[in-house]
Amino acid sequence: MKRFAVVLLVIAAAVTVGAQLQYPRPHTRAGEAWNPATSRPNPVTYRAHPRTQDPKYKVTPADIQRYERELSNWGRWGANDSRGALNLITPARTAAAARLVREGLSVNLQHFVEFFPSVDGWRFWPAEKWLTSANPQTGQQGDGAALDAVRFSTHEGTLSHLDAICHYDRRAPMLDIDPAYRVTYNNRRNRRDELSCQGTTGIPGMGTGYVTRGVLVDMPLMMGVTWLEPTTPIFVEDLERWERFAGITIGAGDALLIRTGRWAKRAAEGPWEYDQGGAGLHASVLPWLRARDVSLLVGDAVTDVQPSGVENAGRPVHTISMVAMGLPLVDNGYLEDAAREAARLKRWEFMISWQINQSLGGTAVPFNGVATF
Amino acid sequence: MKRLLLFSAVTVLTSSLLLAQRVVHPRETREGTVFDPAPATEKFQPHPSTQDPAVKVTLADLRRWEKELSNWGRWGAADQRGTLNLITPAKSRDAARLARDGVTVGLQHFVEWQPSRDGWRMAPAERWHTAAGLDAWSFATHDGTLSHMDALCHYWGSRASPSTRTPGSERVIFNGYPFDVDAKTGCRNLGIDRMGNAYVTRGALVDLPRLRKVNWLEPATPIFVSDLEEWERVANVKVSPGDVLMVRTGRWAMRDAKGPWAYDAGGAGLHASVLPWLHARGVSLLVGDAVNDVQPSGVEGIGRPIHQVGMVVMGLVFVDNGYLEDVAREAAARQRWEFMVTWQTWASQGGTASPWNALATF
Repeated sequence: MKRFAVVLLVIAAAVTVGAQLQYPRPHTRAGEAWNPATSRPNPVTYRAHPRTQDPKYKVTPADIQRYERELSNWGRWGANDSRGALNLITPARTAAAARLVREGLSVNLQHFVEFFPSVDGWRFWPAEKWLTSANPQTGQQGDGAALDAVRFSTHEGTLSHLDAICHYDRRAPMLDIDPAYRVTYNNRRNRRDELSCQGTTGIPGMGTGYVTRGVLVDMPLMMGVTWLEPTTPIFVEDLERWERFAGITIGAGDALLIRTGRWAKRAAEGPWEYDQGGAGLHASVLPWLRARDVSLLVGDAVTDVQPSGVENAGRPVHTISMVAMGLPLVDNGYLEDAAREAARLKRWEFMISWQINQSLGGTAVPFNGVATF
Repeated sequence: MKRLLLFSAVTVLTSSLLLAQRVVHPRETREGTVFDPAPATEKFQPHPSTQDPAVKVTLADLRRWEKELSNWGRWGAADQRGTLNLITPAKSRDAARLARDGVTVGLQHFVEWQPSRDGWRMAPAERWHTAAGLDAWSFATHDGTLSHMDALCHYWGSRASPSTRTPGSERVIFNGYPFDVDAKTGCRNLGIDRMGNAYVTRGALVDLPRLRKVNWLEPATPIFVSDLEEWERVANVKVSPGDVLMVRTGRWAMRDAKGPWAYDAGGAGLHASVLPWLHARGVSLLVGDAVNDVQPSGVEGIGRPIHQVGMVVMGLVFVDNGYLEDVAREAAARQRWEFMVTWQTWASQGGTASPWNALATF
């Protein structure tokens, strides 16, 4: 009996240590352990919106498998391509986008990391900023210039960030026997550990930056509400109704920005588990996104409606866009200022530019986007 | 039984040690322990030409410029943007007309995740995985390998004489705001989040190595008004109000060829005598590929007079360590040294700098 207990103890210790060794535990700079709050004391349980189950829209796991093949862009821009749909941004489209600048008015499309915890932030690591020019004991600024440093997770819930195309992957084919590897866009192998998104599969493989046409779909404006309620799905018919409303046809090379009003709701009612219950695109829009040849998809929440309403697929828009189509996604885009100016000018197309921080390795970068009217 | 207990104890002890190592390992870097950067071993002397009476600048000149070049109050007592105010909607619109070829290049060198002679001066720069497929970053915003925009609260001066920093004096920043920096919330005024975070304007590149037919300017080489105006004639571009002025010294080309060096102790750059010219031309943003100021400055008693007078007196916004290699190549290929520049900065609360997230489009 004692022997059994001892063996159990040893196994327990080994497992505990093993789990710790794989990834460091989140902690603040002061060394305090940080447990990401995944929900509030009385969390709301979100259910898939009933309309996602309407046979007219419903997407099944079999549809997702079909999308993987039918919507694939693998090989479209060569076997070694790592830019995916960003290839659709040609010099001619960039020059045309620059001609959309009439008022000469620029707005920021980024919500930056908050350096304090919230229900929708600090999920992966505490976000901290500190003065390196201050005395660490007293916090007093010294006699020199003011200097600071920052620390944050690149997929932070309060940060508008551009996912690396390699951020999402799927299981490798049966023939690929190494379980450490998975497959990303263009049949590139990717590890799911410290080596994930290395080299040209990662951020630098996507290029240094782009200028193209941005088209904003302002769903709350069209619906006559301040924001879409959590779990509200957006379907192709909504996007096409918007096209008629705004007098714009979404086309090849466009950056498509979908506003659900997440930041307006957050400003009015406070943060919530927007990644559990959030308005967004329903998976049935995927063939439409492929047909229109969108180059960048920007949401103000997680882009996918949450819950997805698709069995066994938490974020099917993420998976198919990135893995099959090579379409990069921006989560948590800040679309409030762009929406205000677009509504004032009654013009929902503009020049958009974004620069990509050339982080060697890594699965996301802050989305450094600018809209210019 | 005893043997088993001993074995168990040893296993637990070993495991604990391993666990402790895992926690202690990042302590050198991620846990806030001061990182000790290697001091500069090379000794650099001011370039002799900085002492030529025709260009020589003294502290008395800087004191005179406190009034002559001042932009305090020019855009209102509450202004937080300084010379970025010169980027008007008309200026942005005209700049967009320059994007004729639709060719875009990046203007940023991003922070390197490993130490070097010119990086990690204020804090180590690290990237690590927090879980499968997720990563996190930690770095100093003024890192020597990072193209970054300084917030106007970065430099302070003495209230009685803003071109100097007298210890113990009352501290001011541009527009007369008090220098007020909180360890948690950062700069109360003129922080990077208060200066506007999205701009489009014209960029004018001054490619000095090209003008001098060299790969790079040697460290400590000063750049004078005569150089800038010679370039204007060669490139047929006149630096005008609201422009981003980019001055290439070839720092990154030299770094690629010979490796990093203490570029902030010995670097080519603008001599302080250009300050009145920068003011007269209405430069909105000054971008250098090193520290902008020639190092050593050649002005006795002050290390970075252009930063000091530019930021505190003129409200001139700076980008240090700008990456100008690709834009220089594209400009030379077209013989066109003007283009559209778009940039975004991170609205980091009270931040003293942001990575300069900028693109040039021809």
